[in-house]
Amino acid sequence: MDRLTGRMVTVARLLGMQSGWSYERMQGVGFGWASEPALRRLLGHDSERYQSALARATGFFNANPYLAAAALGAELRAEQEGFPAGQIERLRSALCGPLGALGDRLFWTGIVPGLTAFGVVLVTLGAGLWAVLGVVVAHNAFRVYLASWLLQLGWENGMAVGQAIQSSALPRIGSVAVRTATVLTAGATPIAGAWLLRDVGNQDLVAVLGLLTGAVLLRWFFGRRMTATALTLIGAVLVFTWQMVFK
Amino acid sequence: MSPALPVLLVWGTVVGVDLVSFPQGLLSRPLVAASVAGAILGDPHSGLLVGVILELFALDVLPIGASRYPDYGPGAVVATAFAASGSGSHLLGPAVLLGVLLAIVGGRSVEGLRRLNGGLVRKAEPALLKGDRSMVSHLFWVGISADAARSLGLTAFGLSGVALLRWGVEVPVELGQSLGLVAIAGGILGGVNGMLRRSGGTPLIGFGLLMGMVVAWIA
Repeated sequence: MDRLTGRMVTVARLLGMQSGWSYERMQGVGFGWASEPALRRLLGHDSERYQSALARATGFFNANPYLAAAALGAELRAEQEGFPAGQIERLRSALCGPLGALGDRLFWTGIVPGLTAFGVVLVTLGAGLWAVLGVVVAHNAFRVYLASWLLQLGWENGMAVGQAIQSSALPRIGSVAVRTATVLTAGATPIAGAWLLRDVGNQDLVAVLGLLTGAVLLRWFFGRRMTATALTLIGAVLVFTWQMVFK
Repeated sequence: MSPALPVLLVWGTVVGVDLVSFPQGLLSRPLVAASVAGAILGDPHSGLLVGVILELFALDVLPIGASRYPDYGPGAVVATAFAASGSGSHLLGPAVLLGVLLAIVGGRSVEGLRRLNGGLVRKAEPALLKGDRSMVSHLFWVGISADAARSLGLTAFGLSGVALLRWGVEVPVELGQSLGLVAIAGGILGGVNGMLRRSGGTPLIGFGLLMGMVVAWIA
């Protein structure tokens, strides 16, 4: 299958696909901006086709930004092959849900929390800034490679891109990423707690266990009605009041 | 004026823009934002401490699509500046709380940015429907510039607050230490929420917790 030319320019532009995010078109403006050089290369000889393709590309779009490259590649192929406008628009909206769900699972509940939790563990074990640098490099290397691969996958499969993604390794990688992130976030919490308490002069692991148990009880009592930030700010106000007024 | 101040302002802007607009490369994660801020200030340890606590808070956040979430990046930069501004660890708690407050304000400002972009898109509707390339480019650059202005303003506002606090308020050591414990407890609560939010299953959570306790005991 032929390769999409100028792939790296499109991948670089995809890094900014959430610029101009609005409730009206969501990622539409960024999607249009990312696809513009490729559309110009493919359809630039026919200004009418190019402009109507660009108008479609800036329409409403909302998926996980890390996986949007697949939709972009597929749309470029469909535009090049001259599919009717309605069919291209249907492809675009049909991809929003699956790419959003898979991407959110892969990145927002898997890779991002997993990597940062791993970074936290490495920092507490003494790796310092190198751990932080490693996390950033690993994340960006993976997401740029993934965007390039997805762009080509979309370009090769066009209208059948959804099926191609489903039969690829991505859904399995998503499940593994979520399981790994679960272990890493669960492990990082007591490790970070002990490291932080040690820094403020408390060497006792029982204190960490106590805080963990308290946190689980608070979560059980409040469910998702109260976030950690809200409960922390309430706790801080109570401590401040106690220290300043009653002491 | 500290020579680090302009660099901190630039870094606060970079991490703010990274959250949504460009390039979403994890720079806005508190662990990264605070660690680099600590290195800029010549106090990497304070940066790592602030970064680790705020990262635990951030594990409780799922930044999906149109949902509302805090912007921890500039908050982490400002919190590190506060924590590094004095000797002793008693500023850690107040610094983290300041970072959390600023993250909430930052989250609100992201909503304002989305509404601003929406207004611009509505005005540009006729040109967008015609497939006007220059309008697409204009909206992209205005969006990114507005986000940079938002992030710069947020960082400058926070750093001004730090300067005012350091000039006018002496944080009592006992109060600072108590607030430090509150911040650590809050971080652990964030970590627990984040851990339970992952749908990996109870056995994996138990395994992770057990491994974490063993590592914490050994280390």
